[in-house]
Amino acid sequence: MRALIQRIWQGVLVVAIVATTTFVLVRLAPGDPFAVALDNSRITPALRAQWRDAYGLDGSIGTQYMRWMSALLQGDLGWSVSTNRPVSQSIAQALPNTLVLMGAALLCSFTLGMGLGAWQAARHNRAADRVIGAVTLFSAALPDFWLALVVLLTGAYWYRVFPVGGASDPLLPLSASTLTIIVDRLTHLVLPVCTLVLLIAAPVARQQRAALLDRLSADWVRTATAKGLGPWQVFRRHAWRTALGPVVTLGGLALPALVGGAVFVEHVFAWPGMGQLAASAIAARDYHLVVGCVIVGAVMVVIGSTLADLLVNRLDPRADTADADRPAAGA
Amino acid sequence: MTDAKAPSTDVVLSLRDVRVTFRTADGLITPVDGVSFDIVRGQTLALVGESGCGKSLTALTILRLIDAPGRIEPGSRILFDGRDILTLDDKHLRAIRGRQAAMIFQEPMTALNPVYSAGEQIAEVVRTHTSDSRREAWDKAVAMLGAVGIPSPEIRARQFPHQLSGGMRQRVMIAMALVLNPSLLIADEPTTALDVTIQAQLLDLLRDAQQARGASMLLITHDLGVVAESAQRVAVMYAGQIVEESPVAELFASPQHPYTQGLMAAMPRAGRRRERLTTIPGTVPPPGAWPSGCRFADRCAHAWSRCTSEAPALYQLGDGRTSRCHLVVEPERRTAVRMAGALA
Amino acid sequence: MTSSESGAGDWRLVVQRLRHDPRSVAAVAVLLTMAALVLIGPMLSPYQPFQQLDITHRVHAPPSTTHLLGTDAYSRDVLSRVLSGGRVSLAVALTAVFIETMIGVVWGLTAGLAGGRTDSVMMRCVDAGMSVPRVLLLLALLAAVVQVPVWLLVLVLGATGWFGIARVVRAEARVTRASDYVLAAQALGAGPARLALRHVLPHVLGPVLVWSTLAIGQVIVLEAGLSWLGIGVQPPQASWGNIIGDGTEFIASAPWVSLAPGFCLVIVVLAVSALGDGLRDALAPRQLPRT
Repeated sequence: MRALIQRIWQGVLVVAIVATTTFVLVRLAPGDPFAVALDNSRITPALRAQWRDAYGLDGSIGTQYMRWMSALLQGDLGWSVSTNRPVSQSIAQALPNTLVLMGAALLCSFTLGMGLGAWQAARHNRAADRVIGAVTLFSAALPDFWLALVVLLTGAYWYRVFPVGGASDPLLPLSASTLTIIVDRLTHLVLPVCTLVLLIAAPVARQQRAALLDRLSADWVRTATAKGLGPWQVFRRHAWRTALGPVVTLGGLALPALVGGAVFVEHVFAWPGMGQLAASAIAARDYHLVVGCVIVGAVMVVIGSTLADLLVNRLDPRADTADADRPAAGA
Repeated sequence: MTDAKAPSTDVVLSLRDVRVTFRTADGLITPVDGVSFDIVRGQTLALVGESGCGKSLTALTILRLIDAPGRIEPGSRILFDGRDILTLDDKHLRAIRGRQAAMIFQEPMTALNPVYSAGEQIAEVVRTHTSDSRREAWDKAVAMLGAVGIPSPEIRARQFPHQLSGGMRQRVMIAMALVLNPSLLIADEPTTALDVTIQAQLLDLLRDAQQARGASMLLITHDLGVVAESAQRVAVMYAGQIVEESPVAELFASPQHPYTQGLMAAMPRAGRRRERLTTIPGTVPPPGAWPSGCRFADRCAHAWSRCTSEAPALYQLGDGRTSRCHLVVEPERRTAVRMAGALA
Repeated sequence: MTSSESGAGDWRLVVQRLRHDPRSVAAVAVLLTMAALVLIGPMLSPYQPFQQLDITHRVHAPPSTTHLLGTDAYSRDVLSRVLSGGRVSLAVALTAVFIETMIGVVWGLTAGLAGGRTDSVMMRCVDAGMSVPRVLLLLALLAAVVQVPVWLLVLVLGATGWFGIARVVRAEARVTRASDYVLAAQALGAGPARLALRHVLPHVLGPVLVWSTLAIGQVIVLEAGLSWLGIGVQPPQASWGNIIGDGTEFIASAPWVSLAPGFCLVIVVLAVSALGDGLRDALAPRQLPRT
């Protein structure tokens, strides 16, 4: 319990650091913080004056910071000039799409990765192991955005199997059946998920293979066999089950990279999620929107890795040793 | 290979000419090389030797726990309650493991699964072999923990191995082995990793449990003190072979094999005049380099030409004693070496 | 890796092991070839990387004998751009990794040798840095600037990547600090700088080298990604990332624009990873498996 609270506190700290860093940068940037918006004729001088007042630009740097932080805590992330509405609204619309994509990607890649890793461990040092090992090694070297482009190219252009982008077909009639809609959504999901799976499954497979190989030679596996358990039981309960911890830990550690990679993948596939939002905000130099995305991204990472930590604790009771009972003196 | 005795009906375990080979980068080695012994029902046989002599491997072969690149050679025979373990199919072998013959391993921290509680691991044995429900198996596990002397067993059963002390973990292992009342216990250095005080407690526990259930035990150890405490018969192993076998009292009174004599002399004994500990000169030959004659020859004070050219058989001495030494048939060759506390 | 396994005097042994490892040899060969290509290539090429050759006729020309990798949307020769972009990408990566290594090593040494509160505070900073997703931080830092100058890019990349190596170096420094012979050296009057240089650094060089090599791969991909998004190397200066960016819109009609620099990236990253693994093995040869 204590450890959980500590983790949450650390997470809050991380988000605070990110928010503070962005604040500092906005203020440090030479000239008017709204200079970026100068070219935008829709921003009238009156509106700019209003912002100045709202953001407390007339006050000291300290009061500005306080205002910024309190606005943040209330969910006010500022105004997005490129979409002409509050940043929080743009994010709220994009976030569910990212969650769907991430969720599907994590599910598929962990399933595939763990399966591959387990198979490799079972065929240790034989042909299948080496081949898969080489493929996972290669996979780790691929830049995410480039892989996305290659997948798009092969899946949507050269072999016109899947749609080119977006989350759904805008031309689908409103009267289309639910099944058609679901199928449509799924086909749009395939390519981006495939890209992410190719990227994530590889390190998962490597970690699973290493953890399993290590556990398979553990003494407790021999004990289990000596107790009369069948080979599948021994593998499942004593080897595989004890190898789950490192894999989930890897998942937690990989979350920052995943969230970062999502920016690129969503941009390539025009998937209307947070990543795409961030990419177009960058192109439009809509700094407040970028900052909003970055902060929400950091929050997602923190939540995700805390969940991963919790899961690891459930899987391996040794992890939370701070809370364990002390062994009684004597036998 | 001489047959020490004809198998009688109350022999629980009988090993005949058991040979285990390993394929290594340097070739084929034979760490267990023709081991034979019997264990009578209700009796404890101690298998003694230094590390590397093959005693642990011998224990593992009984339940066929040897994995590649190790191999139990075809000439070996292991009879458990009259059935040949080595030709048994997997299903029947699994029925024996944990139920009729159970093993207790040396290092309880690594021999217990870290992610399951103590109770779960004991209950697992029960549910593997019986049709008990989860509740029933759990109750048996808790009861067993109490029987092995763990206080507040209901609480301890829910704890994980890393939350228990070394002695307690080993009690859990013992509970796991005893819960289905096996007729044979194989204990591989059960107390080596623990404090001396706990050692005594656990050995008492094992002995009492064994006697209460009429079970037999194969006790692997390198500690002669443990042998004296717990066993009725002893077999001494050296370089993959049994070099002496005898009832315990006779072994301590008059060890026959020079290696056994050396072991006895090397034991520090309380209450004696302070003197330097004797050691056996030289080192144990590694499994890849067994000499062709007697394997102890180059360390033996009595060795002569026959010893290096001809490997001794396990000669019988009467009274259920054997010794793998040419001195049995040529006792006049024994040199007058005085070793403290042992016959020269 | 422990300090007992990597002594300063063993470098010849390490090099020998590297020479005998086919994977490392191949990696070095690939990297040297790539380096030669990007350094010499632009000088040999008949085209200039910024040169718009024939905006009416030679836009998006597919690969041919006159243009080995085709042309892009502005009728620039893709091969020349890839080679010149290679210079930038590699230079940025090497410089940034150099910076982050320097920062990390100095930070780690200071924290590890100082101990106490200083150590504690410094490592808390490292922990905080490590938990922030690097890409997000980079986005936040760079998106504020309208035209990102290359020096800023390098600086920012370097400033966000030193946390991992700082941890490793600090751990090593702590171990050494507690060792007896360092205490003896201190008793003889050795100051902290001398301690750092003569006693800790030799043990740390190995892991630092491995880490830096692998970091090159990470940074080069990061730079490419940022340039692709538009907040890295700015056009018309080429970098592998922004060439891919140029080609993204036209991926269906002119895939060579994006694919070529991408292949170069993949090859370099693979080679660098293989070299890093090879170095790691050469510095601490794996134990034989237990029988």
